[in-house]
Amino acid sequence: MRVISNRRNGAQIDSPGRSPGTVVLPPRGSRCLIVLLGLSSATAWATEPPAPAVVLATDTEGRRVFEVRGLDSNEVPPIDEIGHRFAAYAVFDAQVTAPPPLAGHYSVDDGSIRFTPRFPLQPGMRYRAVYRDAGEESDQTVLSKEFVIPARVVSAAARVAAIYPTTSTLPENQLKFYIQFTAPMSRGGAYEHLRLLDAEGQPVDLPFLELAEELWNPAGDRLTLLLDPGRVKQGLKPREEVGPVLAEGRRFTLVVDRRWPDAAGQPLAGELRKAFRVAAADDTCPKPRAWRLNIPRAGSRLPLVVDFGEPLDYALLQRMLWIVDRRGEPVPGSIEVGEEETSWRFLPQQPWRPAKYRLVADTLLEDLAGNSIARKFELDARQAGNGTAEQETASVEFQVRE
Amino acid sequence: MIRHASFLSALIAVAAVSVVCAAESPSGLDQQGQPDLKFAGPMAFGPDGILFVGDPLSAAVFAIDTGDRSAADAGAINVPAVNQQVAAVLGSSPDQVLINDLVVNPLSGTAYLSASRGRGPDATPVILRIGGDGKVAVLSLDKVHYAKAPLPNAPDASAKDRRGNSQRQESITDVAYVDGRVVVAGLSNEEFSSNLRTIPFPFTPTDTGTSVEIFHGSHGKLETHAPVRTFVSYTINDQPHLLAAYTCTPLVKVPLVDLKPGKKVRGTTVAELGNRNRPLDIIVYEKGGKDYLLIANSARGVMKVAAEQLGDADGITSPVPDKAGVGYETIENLKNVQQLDKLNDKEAIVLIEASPGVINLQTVPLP
Repeated sequence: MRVISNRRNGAQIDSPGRSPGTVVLPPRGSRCLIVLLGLSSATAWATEPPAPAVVLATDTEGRRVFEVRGLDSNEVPPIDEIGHRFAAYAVFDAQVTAPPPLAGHYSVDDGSIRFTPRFPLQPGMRYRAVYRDAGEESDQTVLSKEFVIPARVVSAAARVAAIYPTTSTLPENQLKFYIQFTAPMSRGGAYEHLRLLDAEGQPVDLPFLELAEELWNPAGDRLTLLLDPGRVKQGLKPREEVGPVLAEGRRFTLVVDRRWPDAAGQPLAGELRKAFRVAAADDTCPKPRAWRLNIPRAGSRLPLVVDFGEPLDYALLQRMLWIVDRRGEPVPGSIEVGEEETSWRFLPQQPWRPAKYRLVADTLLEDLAGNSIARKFELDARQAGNGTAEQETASVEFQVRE
Repeated sequence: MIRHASFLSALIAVAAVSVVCAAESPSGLDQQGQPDLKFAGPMAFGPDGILFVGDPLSAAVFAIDTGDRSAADAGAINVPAVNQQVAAVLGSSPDQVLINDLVVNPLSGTAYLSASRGRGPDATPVILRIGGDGKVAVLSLDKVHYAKAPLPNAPDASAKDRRGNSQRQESITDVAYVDGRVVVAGLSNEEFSSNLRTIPFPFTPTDTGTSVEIFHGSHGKLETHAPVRTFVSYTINDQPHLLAAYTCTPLVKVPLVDLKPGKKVRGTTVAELGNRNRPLDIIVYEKGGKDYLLIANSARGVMKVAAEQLGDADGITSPVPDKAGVGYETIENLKNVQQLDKLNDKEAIVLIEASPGVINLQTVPLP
């Protein structure tokens, strides 16, 4: 078997302007195979008569395709043989035994075979296209050529924009964190890049609920990190065996590792540490009637400010509070979550009218420990009700005055 | 000379299996073409080679005709470094491929993987098929019979934050087909709630399915919402049940008949799997005339539970010592199992992380 492998590190075979190189194979019969290096797909055909060559080209739909060009018409293999004669392979560091070829489909033209990969070629990846002529195994000529797809243009590395809750004092039964990044992240390895350290800087053993699915927002730039509910809830074996994750009076640090790759594969711009102190467990529900409302005057577009007296869940505050007028119609406006998520501001699009309004809360709105307006995170079985539906909303009426 | 235009149309495909869009497609699949799958997550086989695929990004379950109705037993399937084989077929690198689920078509004994090509939010969903020859092929979804059921009570896509982005998303942790119903377990990335939904199949446009919240336990006196990680159907005392493993480790039984709209179902805790257990997958099988459960855990190996105890288990009503409730046996030599399904009466098929970055597809005898 004769093999020509014209691999050149970093060679971008189909980019014009490189120094051309030519390798001439010993003749097999009257046939002479010539492999042209570093030529564009257009210039590859400048030499006459055309010799078989494997090239990376772009089809009319803009897809990258592999082609064998320069075959005599009678050398184009029968359809049922094409898959055995011409294939493209992904080249990566792992030692893959008998690597399968890329999925895709073939088409033929007079003297050429085209392989269209099913999936777009991946930026930064190396591929090998191999063509075997019809010779016997011992006398087979193989054209083998590697192509490197240019890596994506590197954009600014992602970083952690914020970790919610932003307050530095958390209840012992703190349920979850939201980690907001500045760009979409890669999924599938989140928990390898997250650690919880105790006051001595030692990692806490298995503090998080590790879900293979990972709880991302649709944009892929915010991860929800749950502390292991088995160690938050009382009476469950994980907590009985190793105790709660957090302990009142102690200090911890949540560390987001710098090596976490963003969706483009780049590591974060830097590590982020969130240090916090642990207070007593919170086992009370948020009570809308206890919230303090700072009500603006009629005619103004000043915000209504709602002070909760405790931090509430950052994500839920984005969508679980709203204002309705006396007819129950939602009042258009925008919202802001206040410092340390202890308050919420509503800025109306139109000036306030001298009228009654209602602040409405979805009863699923939670505090930091997962206690919602409707029910505590941990409910006494005897108070759990008989399956009747809970109120979906709670509201507080307020009067805007002249 | 550039020759672009005259290539003949596709003649032959490699490393892909096309589903023949035949007239005799199973009933209930009312659409034909390419399903708009955005993420291939948990899967389950229904009747006649119909594959149910949970898609959390679309907030939907797809029913897809695989056309795989051959009764031939594919035999043992072993693919070392299957993640690398998958990456090679997809033209990607192993670190850019995520395998999301593994199921076996009970008709043909063929394994199916759901996977993502890419790790960012724009990753491409892929379903792959692996037969007894160990060859990995992409299941072509270009032209198939399918049906789509939007998840009832799915997150409101219009719920946006002040930057105009929709943030809420419900992940799908498991999907099963039980007696004409598709059961879907979900977990929100915002409010702490677990939903178990049942959707009749064939899907009907007006049917919103059933959303069920489950309280678990009576651990001491406290109970709360809890996310279901994985579940399986099983008949106890002639009554179909779901056996659900929770992320915080209890194993709970719920009569299927109790899953009714708007009802809060209280599952009976029959076992506590203990600390360091992360239930990943669960199957039921029969051996020596007795039924067993096999529960894959990320840390403690695979657990074998004799199912006959489940009918008698009254539930755990107070804090309990290790191995409380029904007993179980840990199969120590099956560690780092990520996915599990029954291959045939005697064997299971597992995805095992053999070493960092290397996942093997392995056939193992049912213990």
